[in-house]
Amino acid sequence: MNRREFFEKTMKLVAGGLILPSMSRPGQAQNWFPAMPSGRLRQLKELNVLDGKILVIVNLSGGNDGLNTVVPVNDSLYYGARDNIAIAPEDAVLLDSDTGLHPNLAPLESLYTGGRMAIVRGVSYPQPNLSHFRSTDIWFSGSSSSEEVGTGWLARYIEETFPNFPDELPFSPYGLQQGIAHEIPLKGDRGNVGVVVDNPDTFFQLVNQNYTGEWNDELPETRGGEELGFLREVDQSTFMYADSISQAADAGVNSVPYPQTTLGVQLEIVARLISGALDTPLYLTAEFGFDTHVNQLGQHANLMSSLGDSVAAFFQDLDNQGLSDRVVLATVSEFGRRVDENGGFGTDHGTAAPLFVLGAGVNGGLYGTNPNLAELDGNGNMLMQHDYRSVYATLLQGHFRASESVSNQVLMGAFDTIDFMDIQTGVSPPPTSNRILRAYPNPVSLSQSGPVLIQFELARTSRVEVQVFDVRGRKVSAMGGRSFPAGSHRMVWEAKGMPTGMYFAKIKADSWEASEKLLVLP
Amino acid sequence: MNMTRNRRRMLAFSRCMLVAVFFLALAGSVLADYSESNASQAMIRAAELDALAKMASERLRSMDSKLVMGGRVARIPELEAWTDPLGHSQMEAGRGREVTSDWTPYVGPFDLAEAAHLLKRTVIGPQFSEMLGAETVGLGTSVQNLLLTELAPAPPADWATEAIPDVSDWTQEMIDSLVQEYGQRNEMLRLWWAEVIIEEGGGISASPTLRESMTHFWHDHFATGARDVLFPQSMYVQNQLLREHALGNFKELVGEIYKDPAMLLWLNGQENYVGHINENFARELLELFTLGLDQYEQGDIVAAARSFTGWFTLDGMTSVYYPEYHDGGIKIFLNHAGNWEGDDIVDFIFEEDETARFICRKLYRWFIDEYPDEVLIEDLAATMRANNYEVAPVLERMLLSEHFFDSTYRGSIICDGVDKSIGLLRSLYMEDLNLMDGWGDEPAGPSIWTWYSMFSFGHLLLDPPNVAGWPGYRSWINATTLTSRKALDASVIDGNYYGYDLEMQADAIAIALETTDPNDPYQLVDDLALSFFGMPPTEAVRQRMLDELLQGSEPWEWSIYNAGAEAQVRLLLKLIFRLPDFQAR
Repeated sequence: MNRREFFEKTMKLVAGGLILPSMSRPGQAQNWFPAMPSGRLRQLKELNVLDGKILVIVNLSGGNDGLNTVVPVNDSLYYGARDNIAIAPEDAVLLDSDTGLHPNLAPLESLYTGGRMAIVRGVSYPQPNLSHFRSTDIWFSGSSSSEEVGTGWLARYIEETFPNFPDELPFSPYGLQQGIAHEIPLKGDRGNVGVVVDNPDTFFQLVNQNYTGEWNDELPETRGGEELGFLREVDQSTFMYADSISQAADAGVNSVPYPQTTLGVQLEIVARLISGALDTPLYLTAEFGFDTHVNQLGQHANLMSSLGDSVAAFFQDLDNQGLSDRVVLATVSEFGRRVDENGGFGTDHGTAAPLFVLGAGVNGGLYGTNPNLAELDGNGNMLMQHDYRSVYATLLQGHFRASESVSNQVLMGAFDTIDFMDIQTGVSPPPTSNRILRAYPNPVSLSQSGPVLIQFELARTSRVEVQVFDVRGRKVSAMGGRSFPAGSHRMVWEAKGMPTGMYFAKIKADSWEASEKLLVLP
Repeated sequence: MNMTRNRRRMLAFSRCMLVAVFFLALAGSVLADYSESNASQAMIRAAELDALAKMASERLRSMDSKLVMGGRVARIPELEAWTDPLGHSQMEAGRGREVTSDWTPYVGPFDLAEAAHLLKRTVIGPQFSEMLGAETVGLGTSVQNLLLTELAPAPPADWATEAIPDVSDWTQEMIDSLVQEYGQRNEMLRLWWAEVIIEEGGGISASPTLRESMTHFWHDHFATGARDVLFPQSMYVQNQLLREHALGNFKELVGEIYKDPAMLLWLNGQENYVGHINENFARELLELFTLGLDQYEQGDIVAAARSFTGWFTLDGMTSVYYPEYHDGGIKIFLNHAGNWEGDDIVDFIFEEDETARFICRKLYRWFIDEYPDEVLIEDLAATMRANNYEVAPVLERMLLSEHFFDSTYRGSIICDGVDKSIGLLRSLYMEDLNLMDGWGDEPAGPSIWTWYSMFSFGHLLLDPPNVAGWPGYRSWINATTLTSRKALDASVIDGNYYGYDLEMQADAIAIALETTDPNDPYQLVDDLALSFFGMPPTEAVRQRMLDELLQGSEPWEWSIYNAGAEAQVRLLLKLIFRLPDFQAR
């Protein structure tokens, strides 16, 4: 690669929001599941963190203008306050007679009409803070505006759920953050529960070549010693997680093109990692530039395009690959914007705004009402209808099935849940019998599919063995026998590197046995 | 109706359009769908200005009466000490640590370790030879040298002071191409600054000063991004303003910054005029530049924004005041009522005790530790107020103190991205890199490495993530940035980054020869550790460094003049750059 190519590539990566250069990978195997050496079986991997549930947070950084996102198309006060920058009723994508989406969110319409997208209106918190930085911290930490909390609500949930963290670290990180890293979301009381990775393709090689080993010797009890301890911790966890992230990036695929915007590129990577069966439940992504103080129409329209196109592509991709039953995506933004437009065809910092929740288990529809623009606070900002922590409580209890007490603990208070998800907290009753739910994708395409997920249910705690045989009865993959609790489980079978043809996945649980045919195509 | 006045108003507005046209042009290239409607809308606006101004004055009057009639809400009381039932955020590193030293002048030994600490905290990429020099002249002289005033560096090129052309009759293609050119010049400006940083100490003072570290401090403080400002001229003018006041007076700098062209463009001062109040600059001035959160209310933001009205930049390099655009109504700012101008607001801000505390906390965090002790801050703030907001006496007091040399702080600051990019080149004695001239259609290796490393480390100068600057400290380090730092820094030792020839390479032997006894492998390891780490390595790390240097040979076999010595020093340097210890200073 000559200099110009390097430079151009660099520039392209910059534009695409990627950080590491896409360099050649000398000596690197084609994939991270090397061809099976004779006499050794390829291991099956379990996908089990938080029951395989995934939450993707999309941060609309800068304060998204809620009124021009979810438009009150019959509200004369809205049109009166925004002579120059209102969204006309005829341009909006109508959801009901009073409410429309920004025209560039049209790609989300089918998700809405399909009942998969909830719009929660008037989300904020008491005594809203109009500072970007403070309010972002509040949203990421899940705290009230009168307290400064330096840990993230999701990180606290992870620590609550995995009491042995970080003495026992998972094979994959609990969380993965993309874009400009914010310190709080993945920071727990006991350490960082995740990593920031922008380009999983080059990550593994760079990490390994520059790793100096694990350092366990004691550090002095000084401020310098504390910081070095932190540096060693990041160094170590980076090395550990690099392997699993690269494996998933190599194994996973995308089935649709994504817009090459900041958010589009990130969601493309997230979908690929989910497809590659990375056992990571939390993803944090972001789009930037929502601080539309001047000339907001064009800028906001571009951002709405990025949001609409990226999220639509993401769910199409997951649908195509049969992965969407585990994934919920929610948008957040530090605040909405002022009702009145300012003198620069823009809007200043505001308060309550709508947010979107999409995906598995979401009861689609509109929650709350269009804002009452006749009743504003002293700064001309909209009043809160839903505390943002109610949205979080719903995600914790509805999506992750956290108990109410854990949810209260994590959010440092009790918050009503919202009906956009059904709350079935606690341990669900075990299945009445053992069964294989499904193996998907099947047939699996070596060139176009991610790994196969074999999903099964157990009625009681059993000693389980999972094996895959080829058509001639030779065992090609296995997971050695160990005890599994009652409930639903997922095993990952990576078909890459296997000859095409018919295979059988066999599951033994104590004396029970079942098998599923798997077809591997080119 | 006063025609002259209206004509003047129109004239001023049409001049402002020079700058506005650029942004519309930029919008044109980015927001293809909207540029046309935007441009025509803006033209219509210009014609409507008079009507708008009338409306505005009415609205202004009603706003005044609202403010006066409503009275001011009592200031938010101090938050009660917050106790968190779950113990969240009480476990932050460094918080609640007992501070056992203060600003008492330091009288302990000033050996190489102390000299190294002083320079690592005050100079971007200090060289080992400079540490030896500081040790020789002693603490007092070293600090005096750091506080010397240097001559301003020469501008990068003629384009830095070139007037913005009137583009009103230009075609879109011509505008696009100029905008593209401006983008390239902003890149060159970054690399020019990198050269200025590397050349720090090469001027009349003959030893490094605090100038570039403090210019960087102010850039981080008044964080302004070239991506929105667009004009390299404006970024250059602001950069020189920050450099001129680097060790000067904080109040004077704030008095300049509200009318600084780049700041007017960055925080919409240009869009803030009578009847068209834009709160952006006023809010950040109070929140991020001077007072900090919870010291003012929304009404104060509006009052300040109204007071700053009237300032515009027409050429991108200077600012002008148009009284017709100033909001002449009564504003109530921090309980002071009157027809205030920008300078009045600055005066009122600097009457508040909190202002000195706020900036002293930031200086403390820049030079000593992320977690300031409030008792020490109050003391430092008193020094700042007693010196009428001069910065140098505060820095001098800090750098000469017991607290600064308290050994707990060795290695307590995680290096920022510039330290590990530009600073690395400087500390490795890399010279004549021609970083700015090397940027062009076929950029040279050193220019690409410098630009790309800053970018990869999340610390591209003149491109802060937002107006709050870089969050710093532990947020510099994550899986991606740590990995990039190791890989890119080690590549300078080989002169090669994954097959890409950097066209520059550190001279390993020359680096070793600058140390105190390069023929003693133990001393060489210790000197390089002192040079590149914040705190002394643990015995295990030190042993690993020694093993890397000796490559299986016996310590007594080592000589810097051995045939394989250069390769071995290179291995050691690369190990150093890949160790976690290298990331703190």
